Amino acid sequence: MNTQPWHLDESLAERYATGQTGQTLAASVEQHLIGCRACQGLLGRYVDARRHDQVFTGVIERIQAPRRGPVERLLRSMGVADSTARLVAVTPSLRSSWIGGVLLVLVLAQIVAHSEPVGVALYLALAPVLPAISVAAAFGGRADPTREMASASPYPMLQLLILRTVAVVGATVLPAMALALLLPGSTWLSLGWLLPSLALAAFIITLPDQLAVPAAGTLSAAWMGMVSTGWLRHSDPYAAVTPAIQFVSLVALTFALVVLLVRTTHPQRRIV
Amino acid sequence: MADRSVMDESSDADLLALVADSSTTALETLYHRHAPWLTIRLSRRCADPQIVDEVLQDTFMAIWRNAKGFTGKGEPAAWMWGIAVRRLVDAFRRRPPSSVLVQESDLSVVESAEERVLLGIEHGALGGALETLSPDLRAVVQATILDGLTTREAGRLLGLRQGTVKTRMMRARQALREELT
Amino acid sequence: MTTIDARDVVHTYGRVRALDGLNLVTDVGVTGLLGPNGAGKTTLLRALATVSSPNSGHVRILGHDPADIDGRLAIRRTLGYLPQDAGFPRGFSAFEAIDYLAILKEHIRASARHDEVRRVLALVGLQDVSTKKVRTLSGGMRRRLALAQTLLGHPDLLVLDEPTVGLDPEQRIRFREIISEAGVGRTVVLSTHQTEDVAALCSHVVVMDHGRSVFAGTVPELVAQARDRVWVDDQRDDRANAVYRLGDGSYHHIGDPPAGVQLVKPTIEDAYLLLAGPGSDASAVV
Repeated sequence: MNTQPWHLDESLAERYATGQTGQTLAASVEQHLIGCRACQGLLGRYVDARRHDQVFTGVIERIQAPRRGPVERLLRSMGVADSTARLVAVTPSLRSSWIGGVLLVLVLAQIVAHSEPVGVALYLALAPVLPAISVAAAFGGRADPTREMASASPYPMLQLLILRTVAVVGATVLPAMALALLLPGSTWLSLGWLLPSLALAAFIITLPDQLAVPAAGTLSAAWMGMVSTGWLRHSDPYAAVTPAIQFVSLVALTFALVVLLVRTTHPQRRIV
Repeated sequence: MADRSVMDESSDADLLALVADSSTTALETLYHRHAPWLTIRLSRRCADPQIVDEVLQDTFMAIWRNAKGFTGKGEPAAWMWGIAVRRLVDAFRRRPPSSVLVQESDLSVVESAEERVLLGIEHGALGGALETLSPDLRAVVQATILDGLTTREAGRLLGLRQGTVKTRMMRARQALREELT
Repeated sequence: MTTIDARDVVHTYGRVRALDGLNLVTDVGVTGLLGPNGAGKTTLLRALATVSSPNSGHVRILGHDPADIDGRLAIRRTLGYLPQDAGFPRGFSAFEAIDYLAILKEHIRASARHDEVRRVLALVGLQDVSTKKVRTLSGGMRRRLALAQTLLGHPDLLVLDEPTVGLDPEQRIRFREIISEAGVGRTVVLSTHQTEDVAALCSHVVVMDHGRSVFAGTVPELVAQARDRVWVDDQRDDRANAVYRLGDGSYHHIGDPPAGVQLVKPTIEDAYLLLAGPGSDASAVV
């Protein structure tokens, strides 16, 4: 390949590498270097070995770095720790089966709902807490091929489950809303679970890790309790959907969003 | 496949084919082979080592992503330089350099008779003619003819408006024509 | 130093007693579990990996009690576990797969974690395919990937369930080498069907059958179990525990030899068949 009539010698290589050749000679050297591996090799000693290695380490890091999708970037910008954001964001790749599961349950509830008021109560009780159940289903089945390895890791799996629940709220709330519009009764009443559900999710994401699990459990139970008491006492499945509860939810949601906003602007104060 | 000592014997084109098949070891071999001269050549066009390192990193990222795009025709090293110099232009667009380009010291170096001979062989009469150009015009010729940039890219590299590059190119052509005839 | 001490461990699945009063004591080094399917090897390894809890018995792993929450966490922090059906989401790259497990193993800081991921990928020889998707990797490579995650964070205990299953001979040898290197200075417990794995890898061997340990000792001690109990004869003698026909037409017998037969030097396989073979049910062998 190399048919060049001349080559760099040590001194020319040094002068070129240290910028002591004139522009025309440099241009000449550069044209030559394109085709001559031996002369390319001569220049190795004139670059700082550490700097040289560092640049390549940077290349490798960028090549291997897990691709960050929109969900992960969003979580990070909200102040979620990057490792946590990663765990939550990869949920979609583990969840091929359960989105279908969620829809199935909601559709079933929808069918039952037409035999009101039992069905409406059931729907109202389930819709806000379904994401948690569906993620649990994803963990329980074969859907996650890493499950056995993950179980032997120190990471608290219940916490991961809750975190992912929060992440999938967005994905489950929309179909649930669409189905809610088909419920008997006023549209606003049948959407009454939406605000509490969003408030619940947003509130949990603001909590420190160790509080997320107990809080989510307690609040889900409380919601289901309210729906069933309302139905049992007043035979009205919508009894839980009071202006008071909507107001409380709205306040909680606003509060949570403010906290998240503050955390976004002060990213050094990460809690989750 | 993963053995670097085997790859050290491979041609650039073969290594690029392996890189296209996601071999990081092949990329590493290419890097150790080409990063030094690329670094030095970039350094002659940009005095800020930090920018040079960034450009080098971007260049190898681009090589990684676009290795499939190397057709096997032409010199792989020329293809890589083409990527590198365009990344440098991009870097200048993002962050106009404070002190860039051909160091003045370069221009004041007087070339020996021997070097003139080397040049003559390398570039024929053009080499000699280049020398008669003023540093301004020479920089433009280097960016466009030797580095293969468009006038717009050359303008970014040299911190000139595109119109100025065009004017200087015209003047340079005229001067070269006179010199070569 | 005793690293695992398990006594009278019982684990039942409904009416099946997968572990039936099992005893296991290990030291630093590689301990191999040999036994037929259903002997309880996987159940034992899952208990050692803290993913299942036995119904009864005393278990201490690296001085910790896996039944206790803090003890379990302490064990998990220094444990590498390769389950039998270890897999990764197929859309992950090899790097992403290990990175994901590394997060679960509390490697929080991204740059240090990525260095660690690179280190273990290099240990199993997968550094060159780190960016390839799991679905494009061969079966042997996926198995190596699963092994790589066990090495994250320099664990003191490796629990490997049939690490060499499904590998071709070349990969098997490579795998043994990795495990053997990983076994220096730490406790490795692995299960296998392959007596050659045990001979090549293990300082200690435990033969399991029906949820119990029927032998525990060194490899030479295991082989010694079959001393003077292996013979070759032109005639098939069904009184032996196990008989199989050799390539030259003679029969290889394991059991109590009748007088005057030609005894041969036993192998690990002979000893294993003697201890955990079907015994009364010789027809099932081979």
